[in-house]
Amino acid sequence: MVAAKIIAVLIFLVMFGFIIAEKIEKHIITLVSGAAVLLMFLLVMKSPEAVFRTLSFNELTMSEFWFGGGGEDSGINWATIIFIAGMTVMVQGLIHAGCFNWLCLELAKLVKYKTVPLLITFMVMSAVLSMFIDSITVIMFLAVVTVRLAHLLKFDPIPMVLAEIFCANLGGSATMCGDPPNIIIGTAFGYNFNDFIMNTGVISFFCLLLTIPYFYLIMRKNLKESEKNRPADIEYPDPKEAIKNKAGFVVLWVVFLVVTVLLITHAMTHLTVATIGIIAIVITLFGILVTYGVKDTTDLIKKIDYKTLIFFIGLFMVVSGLEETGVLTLLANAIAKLSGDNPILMVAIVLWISAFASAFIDNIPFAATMVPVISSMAGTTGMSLETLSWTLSMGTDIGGSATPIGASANVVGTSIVMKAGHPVTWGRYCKYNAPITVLVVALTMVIIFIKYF
Amino acid sequence: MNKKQILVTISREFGSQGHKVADLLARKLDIPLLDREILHKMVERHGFDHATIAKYDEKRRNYFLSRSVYGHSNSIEDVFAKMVFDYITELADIGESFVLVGRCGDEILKGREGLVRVFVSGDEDVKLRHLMERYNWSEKEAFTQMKKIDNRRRHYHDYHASTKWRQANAYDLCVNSSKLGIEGTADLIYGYVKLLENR
Repeated sequence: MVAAKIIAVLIFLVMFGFIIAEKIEKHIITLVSGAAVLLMFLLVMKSPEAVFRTLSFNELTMSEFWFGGGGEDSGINWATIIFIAGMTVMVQGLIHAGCFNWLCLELAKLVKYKTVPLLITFMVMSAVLSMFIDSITVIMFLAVVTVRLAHLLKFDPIPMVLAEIFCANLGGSATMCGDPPNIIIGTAFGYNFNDFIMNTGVISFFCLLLTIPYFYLIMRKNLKESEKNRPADIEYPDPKEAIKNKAGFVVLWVVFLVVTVLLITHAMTHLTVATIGIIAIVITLFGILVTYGVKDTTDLIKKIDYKTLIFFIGLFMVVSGLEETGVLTLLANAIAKLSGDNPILMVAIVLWISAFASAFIDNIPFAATMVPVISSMAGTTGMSLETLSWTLSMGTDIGGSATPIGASANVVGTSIVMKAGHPVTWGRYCKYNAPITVLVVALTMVIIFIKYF
Repeated sequence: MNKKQILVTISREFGSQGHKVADLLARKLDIPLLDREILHKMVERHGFDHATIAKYDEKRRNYFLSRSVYGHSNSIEDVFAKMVFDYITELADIGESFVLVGRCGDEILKGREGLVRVFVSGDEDVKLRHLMERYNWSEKEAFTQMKKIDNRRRHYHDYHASTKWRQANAYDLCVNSSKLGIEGTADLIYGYVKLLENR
């Protein structure tokens, strides 16, 4: 069906064009594009089965979707959507209770506002928090506090915020729930939290060891000067100012702890990420209801980012269009042919293509598109699917750090710094973050070669 | 009794001398002129230097080099525009009267009482002659610059506004400055403002 292939590719490209133009909201674009794909299945391919496979509603009725697990790499990935919904609710709860603001200010106080320890602490915190919650939220808080401290302590906030952005993206690559591409890969192939930690987690750890000295060397002069010139009469912010309701604050940290433990142990408990998502919603709302009351709970429900969830639903439908028509198999075969079925070359190609593509386009659609591609590559060449999965995960997550538009955390972080009067041009951003991205991707490649071949 | 608030926005083609018209009109109405200089001083207070301001002011963001996420845009052009729009809106909110040159004023102040939205155009040959004299450009250079800057203004306006730049129904008054000159055009707008004020 050449016509179907062409239509599927056209829908995908037009969708991307509209996403870049930002004239229409993203969730509307992907949903309309997804509807167009379904119409194409019915009218061009005359395949109602493809529509059912794409919508994947039957998945929700299966017991293993909620308990036990197992992968489903075609159609709408409902597990990803439910999990993201759960994490969004929990993060909104943590924001509401002032947990992130408090943590940032408390850590700054703990290192006595000394700039070098502050840089290292904030980088590590950015990476660690991003392992469990989305990097956009981490950066939203960290960048605001960094700018505030930079104005107070008289240092240039740009390199520090860029370092935090890099670490947030790196931390996100370490776990299954850290970054949307990992959730997509993990739920598609049935991996668990431990699988990620033992693979991308280990790689990310070594990459962090390279990243910290890199940013220290870049910033050391600026930071030391700021300490020398620091006025004596600074009024430091009090971390307690972030806490409005002590009981709510404690309860939300407990919620965060419970969800984190559930994620870490889900291979043992056999609870799927979809179930953990539902648990996160229920206990967060209950916690807010008990400590803040009905109004705050309904306000929190209103803050649920349904647009992102719709964006994902539409996106999965569009990717299904490429998959059902065989476009992704063609792409997989092309990569396999290009590498001459050489596994080492195949890993290198997937890693560098993923990193390069993610530096310029949203890594979520890219990962969603590549999941069936690597699945097909593994099927036809006998290459280990796991190795390809970790390669894809690291490539998409790290590559996004190279440019200001590569990942959502970059956009939010640079926007916050700019609003505070520090313009971040492409040149300035890439000067700091592009070299370390290349270094880290190269290090990742070496680790993958050593670990898996 | 409080004086009635007067808000005049002047959108202009490059070379139409819309800025001079706005300047004269502001003096006639005895209200401040909000132009490049004043808005730049305001942005400088936010920490931006002059060179950066000159580079990114009144420009639309580059679709391929920037993105926005949850209302956060990492385009310097967008950040600038937001600061300028906020400043203009704040002034209008506290009841200040002013003549505003460019900066999408017709959209930012839309719906406010006492607002007069003006578009100043000009005949091509007159605009070219003026630009050649003012900047010492050849006719070709003047033509290229005129097209370039008008395109930039159109993109900036249409990106932020729900209406189209140069589209008559987006303005209350469209006037060709080549016919009446700077003084005559300013008088015409002044008369319009006064008529409206006395209604």
